[in-house]
Amino acid sequence: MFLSNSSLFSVVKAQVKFKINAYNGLIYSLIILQVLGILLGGNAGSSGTSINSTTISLNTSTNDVSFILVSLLAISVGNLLTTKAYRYDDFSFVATRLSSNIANFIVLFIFSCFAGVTTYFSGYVMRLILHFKSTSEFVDSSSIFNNPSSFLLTIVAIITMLWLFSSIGYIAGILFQMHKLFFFGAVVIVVMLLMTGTWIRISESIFVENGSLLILIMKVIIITILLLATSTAISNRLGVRT
Amino acid sequence: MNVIDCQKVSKDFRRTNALEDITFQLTEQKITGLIGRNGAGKTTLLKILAGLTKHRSGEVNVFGKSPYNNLMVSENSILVDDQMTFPDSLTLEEVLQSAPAFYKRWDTEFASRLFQYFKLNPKQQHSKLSKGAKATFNMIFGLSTRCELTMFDEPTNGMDEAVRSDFYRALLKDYIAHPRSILISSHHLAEIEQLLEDILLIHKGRVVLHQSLDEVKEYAVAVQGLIADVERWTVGEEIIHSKRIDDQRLYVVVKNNSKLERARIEGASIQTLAASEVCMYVTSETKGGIDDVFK
Amino acid sequence: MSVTSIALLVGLLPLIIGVGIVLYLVKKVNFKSKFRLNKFIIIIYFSLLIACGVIYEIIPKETNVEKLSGEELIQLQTENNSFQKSLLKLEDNKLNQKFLKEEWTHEIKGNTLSLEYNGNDPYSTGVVVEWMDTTDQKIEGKVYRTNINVYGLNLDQKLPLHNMEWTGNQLVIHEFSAQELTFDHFSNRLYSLNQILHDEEIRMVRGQTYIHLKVPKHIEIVDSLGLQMY
Repeated sequence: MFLSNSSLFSVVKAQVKFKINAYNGLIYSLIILQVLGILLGGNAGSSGTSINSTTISLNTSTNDVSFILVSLLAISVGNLLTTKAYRYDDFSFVATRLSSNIANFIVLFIFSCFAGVTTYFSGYVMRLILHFKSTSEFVDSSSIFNNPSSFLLTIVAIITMLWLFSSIGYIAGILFQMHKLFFFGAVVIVVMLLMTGTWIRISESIFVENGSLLILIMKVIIITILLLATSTAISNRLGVRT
Repeated sequence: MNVIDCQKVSKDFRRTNALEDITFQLTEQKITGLIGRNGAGKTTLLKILAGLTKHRSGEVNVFGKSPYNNLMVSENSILVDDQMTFPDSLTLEEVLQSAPAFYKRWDTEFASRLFQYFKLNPKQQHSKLSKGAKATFNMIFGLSTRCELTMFDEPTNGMDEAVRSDFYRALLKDYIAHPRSILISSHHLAEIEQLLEDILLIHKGRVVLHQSLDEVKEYAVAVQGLIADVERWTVGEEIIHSKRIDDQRLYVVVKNNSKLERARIEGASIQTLAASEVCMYVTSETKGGIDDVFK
Repeated sequence: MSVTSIALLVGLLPLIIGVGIVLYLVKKVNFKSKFRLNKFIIIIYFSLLIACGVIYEIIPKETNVEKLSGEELIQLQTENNSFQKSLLKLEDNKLNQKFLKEEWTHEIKGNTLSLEYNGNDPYSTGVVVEWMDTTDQKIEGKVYRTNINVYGLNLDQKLPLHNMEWTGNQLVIHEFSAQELTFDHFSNRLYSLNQILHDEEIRMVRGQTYIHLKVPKHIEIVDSLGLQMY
């Protein structure tokens, strides 16, 4: 009897490759949302004031609309990977719940990277369009070249935020798959936290009291890993083909 | 080394017991038929063996390891059933192409030849296949993995007659070329009888028989004759099944042992049974059968 | 339940609805159709975006308005504050001369000087009077304007100065006629992330026009609008 014996690492690697190949249709949704973001986000923020008798308005174009849309996509993709159809597919091949969870996290991270970079650069499409279209004066904005660290940090922040959102979708999906009651229980707890203001305090300490983007990124990564580890722990009893 | 070793395995769904105290061992390189009636617990047992669901109590070992969440077991075993799914975003061709990354002994050549023989469309999606084509594809997938433990759960459901017999031939030929442990479940023993070496008969979640095919055939015999004669011959015998053929004659299936010599001397007609008949009678609920319903 | 939590819930509703819609769309796209993107399309899309970034960064851009950082704005604000303080203390020598815009002298007849303002925003202007120990009729005036910066944009050059006009013994301050300035700005930073980061910086430095008048003691000032600062 010959038994092959692969390491967890090599199985996860094969699963990641397979999933990236199988799920890359999701990028279709991503492109649609980014195009939508460009169309809607032409003038993301406009602030106006009047000094003496002059009205001054500053239209700030950012990637926020794309970012928010893609965040929603991240939540739903995280959730999608936990649905039966996607979980069962893994077990037609070699998989354990652990390997399949790890592979999902890596896939979510890779998709977050792609989505983050493209979301960031989709802003430049908007810039080019406005540059040729708009008649108003342009304000110097920091370019990639004169402020590379801010450029990199922003991209990394977008990526980690997207990963966080997808992991939120993932854990919600796992709870829902375990038992619908768990899911609604979790929703009730979240709503209760919202009402009591505990949530505000928690989120303040997590998101607000940050000196820099870098600290925010670190915190987000830690929260994401915690969420994903929790999902792995609770999904360990989920049956397949039941 | 035993490929499968089950000790007192139980599993329940809500209040009904699906498996109760299942104990058996499977030695390597045999084709074993997992036989049982509908709802006997065949599928549940196979899912536990494949590590897809968890049993409640007892001990399950596949290749010496508990199969639930074990990578080595997952790598060396496969369960082919009609609930197998593959991503819709991949074509059948691509599914087959992704397999070698997972199964070290995947036979690409074999897979594509079977694929062509059964005239499947490489550009189609798995979920769009008809029931029979899906079963055929799953079978091709399962055979090509060359897994040390290959399990089929009702593999021929939905296949037409020609494909069925092709499948059995393919299975047998591939088994001879690459011996491994194969477990096929079916509620239709007669059809797979010629493949099997061993039979594992389960009924109502319990193991009833686990013997070689020949032993199963000799497990019971049928005696037929006038009611009085038959009743006299079978006194003290373990009667598995009896039925009235007409007003005077009785047909009784008894466990095969030497006491029947007297009947033989008196010229009773003693018939040997096919394995499928043995299984059917052993697992029948009543001594009478369907005829009793019409009395 | 407090008002803020209700507001939060209401604010979350569109988000939840949005999630629902996207969820539905994603499911539709994935299960019901054969969409699987060609690697080419992904590569083309990706390189198109990067190309846009590169093109934007390298094309020549006409003279852009400089945007100052929060720290620089704070500095401007301190300059303004210390200017006003020194001016009110009449410490001539401490006044930042870069704010000096105009200087003139005017002889008036009679003993009254009236201040008038022609415009909508008289608070933009302050008149500081320094009494001189002379008996002549000469009034010395200096016009200053401190830093004006809105959203980090330096508007000193863009906003015209107030116009001073003497008619007899009346000083009329004319505000420039109404106009509109629109600027476009691209930010690499995400508003939603920076909200989270909570970096509250001052966003406006509202400079003022100061008129420093040296007026002989015997002249009475009529200031119906309250333009004088003390």
